[in-house]
Amino acid sequence: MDDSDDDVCYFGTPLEELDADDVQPAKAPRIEDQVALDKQGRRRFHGAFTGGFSAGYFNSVGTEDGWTPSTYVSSRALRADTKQAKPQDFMDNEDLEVHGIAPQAIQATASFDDNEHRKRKRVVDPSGPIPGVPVLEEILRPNKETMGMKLLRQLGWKPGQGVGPRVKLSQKKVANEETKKIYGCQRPQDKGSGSDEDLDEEDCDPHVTFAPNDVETLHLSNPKSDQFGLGYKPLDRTSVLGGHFSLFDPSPLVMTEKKKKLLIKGQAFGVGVFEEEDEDIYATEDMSHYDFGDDTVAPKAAVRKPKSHMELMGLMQVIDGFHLSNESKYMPKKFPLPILPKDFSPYHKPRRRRFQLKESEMQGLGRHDITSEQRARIISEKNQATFEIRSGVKGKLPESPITSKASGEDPKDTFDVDKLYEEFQSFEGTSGVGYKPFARDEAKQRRYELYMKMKERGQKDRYYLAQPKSMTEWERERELQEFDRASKLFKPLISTMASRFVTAALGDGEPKLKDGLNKEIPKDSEPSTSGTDFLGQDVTDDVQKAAKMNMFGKLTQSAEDWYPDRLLCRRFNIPDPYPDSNFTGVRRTKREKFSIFSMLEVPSVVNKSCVKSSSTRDSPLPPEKEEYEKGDDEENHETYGLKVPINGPPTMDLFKAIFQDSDSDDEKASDETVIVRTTVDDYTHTQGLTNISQTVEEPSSAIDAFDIQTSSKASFKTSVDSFLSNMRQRNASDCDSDGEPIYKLGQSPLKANQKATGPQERTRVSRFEPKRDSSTGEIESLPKPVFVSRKKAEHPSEAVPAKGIFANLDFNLLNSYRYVDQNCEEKTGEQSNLGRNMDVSYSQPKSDSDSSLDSDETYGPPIPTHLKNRPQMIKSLSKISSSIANKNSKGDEDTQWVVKDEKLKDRKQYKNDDREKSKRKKEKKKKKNKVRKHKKKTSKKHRRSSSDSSSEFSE
Amino acid sequence: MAPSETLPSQVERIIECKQGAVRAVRFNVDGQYCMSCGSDKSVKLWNPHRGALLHTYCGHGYEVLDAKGSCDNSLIGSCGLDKSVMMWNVSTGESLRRFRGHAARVNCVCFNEESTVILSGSVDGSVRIWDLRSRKYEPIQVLNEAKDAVMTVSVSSHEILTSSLDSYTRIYDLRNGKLTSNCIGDSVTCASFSGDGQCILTSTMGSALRLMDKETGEQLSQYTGHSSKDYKVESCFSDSDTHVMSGSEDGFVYCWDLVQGTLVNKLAHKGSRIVHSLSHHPSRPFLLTATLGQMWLWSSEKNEEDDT
Repeated sequence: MDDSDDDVCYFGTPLEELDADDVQPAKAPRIEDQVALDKQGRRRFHGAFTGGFSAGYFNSVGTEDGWTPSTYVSSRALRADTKQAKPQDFMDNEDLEVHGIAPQAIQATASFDDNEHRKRKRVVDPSGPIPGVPVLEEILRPNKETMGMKLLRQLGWKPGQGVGPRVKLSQKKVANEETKKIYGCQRPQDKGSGSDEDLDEEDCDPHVTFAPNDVETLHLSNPKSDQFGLGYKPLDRTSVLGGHFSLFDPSPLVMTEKKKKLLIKGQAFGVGVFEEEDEDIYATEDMSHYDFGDDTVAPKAAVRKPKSHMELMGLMQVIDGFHLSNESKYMPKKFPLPILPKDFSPYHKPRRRRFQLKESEMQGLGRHDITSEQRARIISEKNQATFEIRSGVKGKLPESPITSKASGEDPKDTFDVDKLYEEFQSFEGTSGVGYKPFARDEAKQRRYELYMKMKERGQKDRYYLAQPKSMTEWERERELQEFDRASKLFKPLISTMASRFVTAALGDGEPKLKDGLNKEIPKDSEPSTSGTDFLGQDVTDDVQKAAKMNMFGKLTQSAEDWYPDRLLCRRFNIPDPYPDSNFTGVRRTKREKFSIFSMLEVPSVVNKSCVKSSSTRDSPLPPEKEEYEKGDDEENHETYGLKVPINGPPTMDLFKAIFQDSDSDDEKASDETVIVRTTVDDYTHTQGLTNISQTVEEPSSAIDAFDIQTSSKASFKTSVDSFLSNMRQRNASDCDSDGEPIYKLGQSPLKANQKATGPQERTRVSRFEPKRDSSTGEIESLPKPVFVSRKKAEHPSEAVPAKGIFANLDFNLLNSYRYVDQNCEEKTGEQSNLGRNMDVSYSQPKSDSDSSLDSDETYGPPIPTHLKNRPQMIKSLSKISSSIANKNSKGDEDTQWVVKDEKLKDRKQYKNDDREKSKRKKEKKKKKNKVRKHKKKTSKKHRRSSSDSSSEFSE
Repeated sequence: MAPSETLPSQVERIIECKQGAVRAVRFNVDGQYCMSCGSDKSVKLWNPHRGALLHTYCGHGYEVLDAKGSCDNSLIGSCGLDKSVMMWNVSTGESLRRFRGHAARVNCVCFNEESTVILSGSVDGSVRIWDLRSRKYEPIQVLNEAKDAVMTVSVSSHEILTSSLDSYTRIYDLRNGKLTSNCIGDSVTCASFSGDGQCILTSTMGSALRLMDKETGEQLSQYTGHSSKDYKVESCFSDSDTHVMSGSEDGFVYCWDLVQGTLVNKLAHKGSRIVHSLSHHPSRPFLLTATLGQMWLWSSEKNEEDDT
């Protein structure tokens, strides 16, 4: 294999053969042992690196106890020399090494070019001690060769010589010619070149060869010299001990004065007599120190070349061999926006999962989770069950008024509602347009808008028609109040305010806004400043018109006094035109100062005007009663207010006025025989019996009205708040009469018109208010004025709708038993009842007052009066029914009721005795000891059944 | 072309400002430098004649809408969508003060002649006058007579001229303590004093430029042809008050003869639609215009020849 050995070439030096014995089994060191050591053999990484906490001890600080600062000791004999601590004192040796944080060695910067010394360098700074090129710079020349240069050298490259086979002189010449740059016009080529070549050929030895030309280096204006990404500027890696160390800087002047070294650098040093003064000794900043470029525009070529696009763009520096193009190549591509499908909505709609609950299902059944309508729907189904229980009678179920209403009348009502909306849709109201106080609840907002429109038309009394049937009366009432308040608060801004705002032509969310102005902002609505009267914009319009007609001048100009601020005048170097005045700005005498109160005041005026306008319309409804001009028996509710004594606690009437009205309304409405009776009662009181015949006629119409009422019970209390308050007063003054307005309310307008002079007027009359005979106009009988005349006495009641526990009472349920009664009543003849009812009616007010007395003593939240009166009510009814019982088969059921209720009544009586009991409590306690024995005897059962009895026993 | 002797008619340089859309360009007081306000919240100081960027002032919270240089070139006042007015140290580039108080974006700023106060007009309809002498951050006075956005504010020696979108120009005369308001049928987007201070040039949205007499409020002349419907298009006088110029929404700058009212020149901005801001050199025929992200410098031929 010798031949083959000869053929093989070896590169490099072979490793020595190893003896098998010497070779130790290579065993990888454990991880724990793999530690980096420094020069001294100390562990290099420790502390935080290895998860422990000993940073600082091992390498930097000498002792285990840590670093002890040197103590300063100085005595008279031994003066402590001030030792300047240097940063180095606190550094490790490693820090000062090449790779440390403060390397001491000098090294060439990366940008240093070794070849640079070839060029003759202009001596820039001859300010050093030795003129000429600094010697140090000559001697010390860092060498830096890149790897590429080293490789090229190996290949035979020398600076200035190219790489490759050597060439003859002639070839080189040719190559030179090719690369030679020609300036100006071109020489005649053939002649010159030929002669030169010949000449050279003759001179030179053909065997002499030359190295090829070096490749011309491409000089980029700003070559990349580091390995970072384009445009990335790394942190300057300079020594922590100081910034850049420049070896060749002229050494600053160093003076030693009193053992102190003074380092003098820069311009701070004074100047000699013959020297020019430094420009800026104190180095204050001034604009003159900034070279903002040529102050004058640089002179340009006389012949003005049309500038290329790139030139215009400021691109002047071009690499040799390139030239500026005449047309800009870079045109940003414009892509049209994608066309969105029509049904695209920019919101994410999550896909509904199979097991995901629907929104309606997700809602709980809590009070606040469902709307009132939903609640009503739920309740209406359960109502029947409650009736069953209430009636206590098996067999025939009384027809639930709610269900009957829902089944029978609802379609008609909804139709009405739609019609209402339609009717008012076209009507463009000005008030409150655009403002949505109830935007959260769409239905409510819709109703609010309708309400506003109605109000504007003066038909707001019709609003109750639009309210959903599911709302309780209290809710309706409250909604009305809410709307009324909202309409006051959010009225279209009165002119003072309106002038400050302009409605945005575009919504906030709209992306179409341009960065400039928007022409779509309506300009006509803006009143002018100076020309505006408070009354109108006529002046403004005139000014605008004049301006539009280009009739500028006096028409369009206006002048006012303007008071500049004193300081402003001083800043402008102008004497104050009004030296005596402290006022600034423009005096606005024409305008009122805006305040929140003025805003609140104004709407009330507007309201009245609204009402007045509505009063011209023939409305059968009582809310505007006070505005009726023609009504002779018009009572002034402002003077005859609630019966509230000046001193002392409010009477029960007040509470009734607040809490009872709605229920008693229902009560009376449902029990129309009673109504009739009361009217008669009233009437006989005031006007005598002559009119009885008229009243007797009434029941039939009342029944008609009543049908409507029961069906749309909701409509009882939907009249405007003024009406309500009015009614409350009446209720307060006369419990009997309070049913009448309601049936009036339920009446169709037609009927009301027909009976304009009939019982209606009578019904309006309150017992405690001055009554006038429609014919004579005289006050026939004045009631005993127990009450104080109060202005706007309706406010308290208006402002305090039943809140708290009443807010959630379902009055329908509570009143439901009445429907039962009423059903029974209906079956009895009205005429026959009339006489008897009259008897009862006399007793009833008394019983009412009794109950009120009773309730005076109760504590805690007041119980709705109808609940309290219930037993008595029923009692009274039962009397009637029992009287009828003989005639009527239904009497049995009633008696059953009566029996039950009488028991109740008994209990109630006991309860009334409670107060006595409470009075005696103290005595009881005293007697307790005596009683104890007695009590033991009495059975526990007894005590439980009624505390009253026990007390009796105890006594 | 006769006016070319004195009118800027040739593109001298197009400077890509690289600061988003250029909202406004303004010469400084002597016309050597200019400011450009960008939508990238920066103000840039240029030497427009060399096309050199000198400084960038960053610190606004939102787009910068206007900037002016003080009379001694030591301050730059700028304002913008961030509802604040800022003062800049020209040389160091630091922000010296920031005045807050406007309720809406601030459209314009203006120094008084001695640069002791700066006035700012805002979309909230008020002009606020800020003191630069004291360290107070409350305005000296608020002029809130305008009923709509104040578009421009300019100041003569003793008068403050505001133009607002409620179609009024208002002149607050400090010397006489009088406020004179003039109704110009349409929303006024720009109003400026003439060099002699006797006339006011108003440009309105959707209609003509009008030269109004300051005293009587009468119209002296009317210049039409350009289009200004959607944007705040500015107008200005030439340096010698011989011509009137206005930007336009069709990519031209229109030059009218002041007296005759005839259209003299149209400077076409290639590749742009709207020229909304322009500023004339205070003494020489140079015009700066702003369009898209560029700033164009226009010069006259005559000017060049004189120099060489």
